[in-house]
Amino acid sequence: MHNGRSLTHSEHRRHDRLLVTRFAMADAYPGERDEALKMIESCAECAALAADVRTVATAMPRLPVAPRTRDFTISAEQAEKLRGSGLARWLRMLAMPSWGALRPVAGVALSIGLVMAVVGAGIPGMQPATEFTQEPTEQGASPANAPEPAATKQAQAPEVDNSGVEPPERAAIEQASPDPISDLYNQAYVEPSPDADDAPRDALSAAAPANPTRDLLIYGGLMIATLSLALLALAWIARRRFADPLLR
Amino acid sequence: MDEIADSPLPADRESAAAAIDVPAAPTKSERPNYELQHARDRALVEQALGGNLEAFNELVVIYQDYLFALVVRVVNDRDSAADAVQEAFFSCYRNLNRFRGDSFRSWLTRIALNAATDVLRYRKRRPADPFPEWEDDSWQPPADEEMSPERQVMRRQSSSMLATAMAQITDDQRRAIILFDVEGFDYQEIADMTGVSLGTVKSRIHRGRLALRDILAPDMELLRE
Repeated sequence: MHNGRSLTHSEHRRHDRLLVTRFAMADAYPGERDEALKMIESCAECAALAADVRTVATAMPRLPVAPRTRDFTISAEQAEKLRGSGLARWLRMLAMPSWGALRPVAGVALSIGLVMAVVGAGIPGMQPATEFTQEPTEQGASPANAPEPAATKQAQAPEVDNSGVEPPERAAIEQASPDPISDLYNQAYVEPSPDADDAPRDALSAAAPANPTRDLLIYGGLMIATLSLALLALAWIARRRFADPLLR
Repeated sequence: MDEIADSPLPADRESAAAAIDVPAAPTKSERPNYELQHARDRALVEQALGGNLEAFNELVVIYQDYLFALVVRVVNDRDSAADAVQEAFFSCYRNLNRFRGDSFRSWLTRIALNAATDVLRYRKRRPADPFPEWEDDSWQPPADEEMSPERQVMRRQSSSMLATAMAQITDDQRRAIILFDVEGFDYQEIADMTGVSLGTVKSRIHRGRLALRDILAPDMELLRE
């Protein structure tokens, strides 16, 4: 078997010693075995290496054994302490890898809750509809602008017309009074339309907080966000304080 | 470094072993009383989960010698090993409801190895005396009553050499070799316990053996006795 072992030391250095080791322990790939066997048959040092590796492996159970220095049984007091309180047991359970999905789920829920609250706050349920019709006009107001639309004028009328004076009487006062304040007042006066009295009522009804979707989004979102935050805090505490490092 | 891929086992391994007269390591199913041990352990775990501390302590009594011997070989210091084993049993008791596998021994070994790894990491951070107990005479090779006194002396010498050489290889290689060659776990079990791939386990074992052989080469004759 070993009749061809005439290779020199320098040639041995080119041999794959790890392959010889694996082959010696019967752990080489099927495709490598021929190569390993060839090396062992042709190289005395490879053959010695294989024999030595087997010797080392079989000698391993002879490793010295140190006598046990203490008894490791657990006393009742230790057991009670190790079990911990109900809260500690619960937090320890939260720290288990099986609850690892808790944090991402709570994170997603927190995001959803916050988005719900923000979207809810953005719904214009609390603002009167008139504000929306007025805003563009007010922003675009300038001396060069075209006259205000009639609807705008009508909407402004109730603010001005609070004197309780009837239009015919007002005309008489207008003619009789040279007061500049009265002149301004008269200039601002607009003949009310038949339905102008309804405008304040419409504005009031729009201002009523009667938007359940908006409330649901805001309060539901805040509640979800708060609960998620609490869960995240609990999971963090559980991981920091109750996760067992030996169960990694 | 850890690049050896999986090779077909155990059939190929047995045939190759026969070709070069190497006895293949016993597979999991060949180990004596494997199923009986599992059944006993599972029953004791069930009782311990029901609040029976005596049942848990029975498990401790069964495994404490094995666990201490394993950990002390990995960390080479009895005090640190004792602390690690105690921590492992504490952790085991606290988390008994997390035991899901079929082998309590493997689960316990994994916990103890993690404790041993923590000891080694701590030692690396604060190196004082890396292996304090080399020359301690209380470390004895496994006893053989029928062995002559001369052979016992030689056996003690060779096992001391072996221990010295084991301390010179890397922690990962030492742990893998102890689990495979001394404790008889198979590659897959070691991979599960140490959290690395099968190929990495094989690589660590083979490279570790090669390193041991290089260290022990001048005294190889003593090991052959």
